Amino acid sequence: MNHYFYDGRDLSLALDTRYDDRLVALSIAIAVLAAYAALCIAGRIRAADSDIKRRLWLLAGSLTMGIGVWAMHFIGMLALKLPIAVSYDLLYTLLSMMPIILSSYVGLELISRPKISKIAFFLCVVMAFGISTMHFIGMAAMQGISRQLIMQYEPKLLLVTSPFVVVPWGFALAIDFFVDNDKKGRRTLWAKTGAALIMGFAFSGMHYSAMAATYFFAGDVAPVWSPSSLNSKELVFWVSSASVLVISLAIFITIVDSRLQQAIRGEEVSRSRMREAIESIADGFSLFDMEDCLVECNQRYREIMTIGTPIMQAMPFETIMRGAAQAGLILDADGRLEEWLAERMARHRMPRGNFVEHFRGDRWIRVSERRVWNTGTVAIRTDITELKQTEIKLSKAIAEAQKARAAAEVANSAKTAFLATMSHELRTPMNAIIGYSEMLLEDALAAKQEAYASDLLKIHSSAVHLMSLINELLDLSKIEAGKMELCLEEIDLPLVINEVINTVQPIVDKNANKLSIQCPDIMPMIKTDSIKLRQILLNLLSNAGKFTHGGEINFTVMEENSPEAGWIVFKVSDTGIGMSTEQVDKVFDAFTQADNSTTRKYGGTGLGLTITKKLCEMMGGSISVESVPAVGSVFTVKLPAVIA
Amino acid sequence: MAKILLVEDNEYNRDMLSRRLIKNGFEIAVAVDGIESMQLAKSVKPDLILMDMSLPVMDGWEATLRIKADPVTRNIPVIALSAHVRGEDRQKALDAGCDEYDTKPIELSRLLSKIHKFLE
Repeated sequence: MNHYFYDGRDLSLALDTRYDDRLVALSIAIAVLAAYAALCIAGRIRAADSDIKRRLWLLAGSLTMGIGVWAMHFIGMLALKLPIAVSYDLLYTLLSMMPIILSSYVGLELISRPKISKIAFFLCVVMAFGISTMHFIGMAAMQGISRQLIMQYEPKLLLVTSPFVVVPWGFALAIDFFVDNDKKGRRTLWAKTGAALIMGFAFSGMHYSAMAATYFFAGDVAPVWSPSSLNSKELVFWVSSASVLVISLAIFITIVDSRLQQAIRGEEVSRSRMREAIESIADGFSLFDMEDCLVECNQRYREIMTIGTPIMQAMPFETIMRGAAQAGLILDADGRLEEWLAERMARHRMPRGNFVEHFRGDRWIRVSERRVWNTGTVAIRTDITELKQTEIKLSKAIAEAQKARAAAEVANSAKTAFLATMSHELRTPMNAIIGYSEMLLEDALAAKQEAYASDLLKIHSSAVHLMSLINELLDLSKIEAGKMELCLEEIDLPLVINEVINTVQPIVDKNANKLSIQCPDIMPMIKTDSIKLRQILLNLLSNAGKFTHGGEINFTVMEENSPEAGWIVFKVSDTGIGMSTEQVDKVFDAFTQADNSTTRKYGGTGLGLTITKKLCEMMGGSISVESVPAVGSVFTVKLPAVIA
Repeated sequence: MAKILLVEDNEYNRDMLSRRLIKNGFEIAVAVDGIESMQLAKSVKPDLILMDMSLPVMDGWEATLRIKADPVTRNIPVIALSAHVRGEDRQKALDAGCDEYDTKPIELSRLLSKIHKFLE
């Protein structure tokens, strides 16, 4: 051992060293493969989710890498052709495997850590140390057997070559680590292949550069053939095939393991994603399988179905429902548990649309169940309490409004009935008063009793006036109760106007007024309610007569045609007392004659214009007024010529 | 001389109208309720009946229905006299079988023209 290092002897005596190219290539290939396997396993170690798994991978990794690098080294040794016979010591050869396995263990342990950059150099040193130790022990096996061979190392050359190996090797590791963290399939594969190539060449480079720093000399001791020495070709075959097999197996297992883990992780991701989605639903979600057992539900479902015991997976639907009913949660089930449960089960198995369940605390839950083929029943529970409360309030309000309306209708019809009765009761004595006064008037006139006749006439006309008041009140009540109907007929307008003029003439004359009438000779066909038309015209003309003294009253009838319809316009203007703007505004309201004194002074009911306006509107027409105090008033009525 | 049966429960109206009709040359029989009107319609056999509608014991509508249902009295014309002036009251009277309708207060000339229409 004392001459391991070059002792300065004549280098021309050094043996010629040649290498078998094919074996060199094989050794490098195995090194690359081993590096690739090591990187794969490092990935698995990093991904391991349990300590045992991690240790197992570490062990498998260090063995694989150790065997691989050793096989490279050993085949590299066999590639060396020396002019003298060479043999190997089995013990030393096997022993040379130990340092590389150990350093691989340490190396893998290091590269499988999350932060590798800071320890990369240390890692390289460990690996370089392992490889070197292996190398020199392996070399010793060679030397130990063949006493003819003297090996001497040149330390300077060794020192120069080693860093060249360490640097690219660390670089390769770093590439692999960072890209692996990126987790992008194709790029990872290329990076890993590249890293494996650099590492493989680094391993081999270390070996061959160390070999280059070795001088071989022929010794003086006669060769002793040991039984442990093996045939070189067989050795190459067994070593290379065994190591390739081990490495390939390791790579294969890492791939399988990685795929398996990815699949599991993928499943977990999609499951947790689905879970999150289900949890994020604001409504209660539940899924029961074909056997009615709970598969999935969210927190909201648990909140809605608080049955006292926690709701677990695989819990039968019936258990949950029975629990809910027994906990008094579902008011529909009160006092009829079994019956309700049977109905509920049937509905669960054959869902038919949405329904609402009434829960304790006056909560309302809308349940929407769907049967999904080959899966089971999916149900969504929505708390619609607010909606329901609004609905209840609304229907109460509607009921109240209806009640109020019905009450108003009853009151209205009671009013109508009252007015009808009143009218009837008033008419009976009025009939007697008017009848007797007429009778007596006739008798008085026959007996030439002028004084009696004039008083009897006053009684009679007062009675008639009272009667008209009663009639107007009844008219108004009929209109307001919507009981007034139109009685349409074709009329002779000049005839109607003539009758109206005859009726109002005494009123006009009484106040010394002059009435002039403008009416076209030919009028179109007119279809209207003649009684109501008469009532309207009588009212306007008698008003004009009453409120004008020694003035003029003009009554004008005109046709007014628009493309859509023909109208008849009646205009009554006077030079009477007129009205202020305030009075005009209220002139059509009931009981609002200019002031209370008007009624006393001018008579009338205070209902005439109110009734007139309502009659005009009923007939599809309108009434308007223009007036100036102390100048006069103009009332204009516009009615359809033909009422359909 | 035409014979008229006046059915009227109000004493003054009955007196007033019967006197005015007598003055106008009619023979008058009077009844004060529906039942009596039926009996007199049969016994007196008037040429025309003036029927008030609001009557005690049996109202005018019911009495008219019965008079018109009896083969002995069905051909006597009936003029309803009513203090009810609503259109539906008129229809109700015609539906009961009245042949004509007039409202109170009575306008004698109008009533006479209606009476003469039936007696021609």
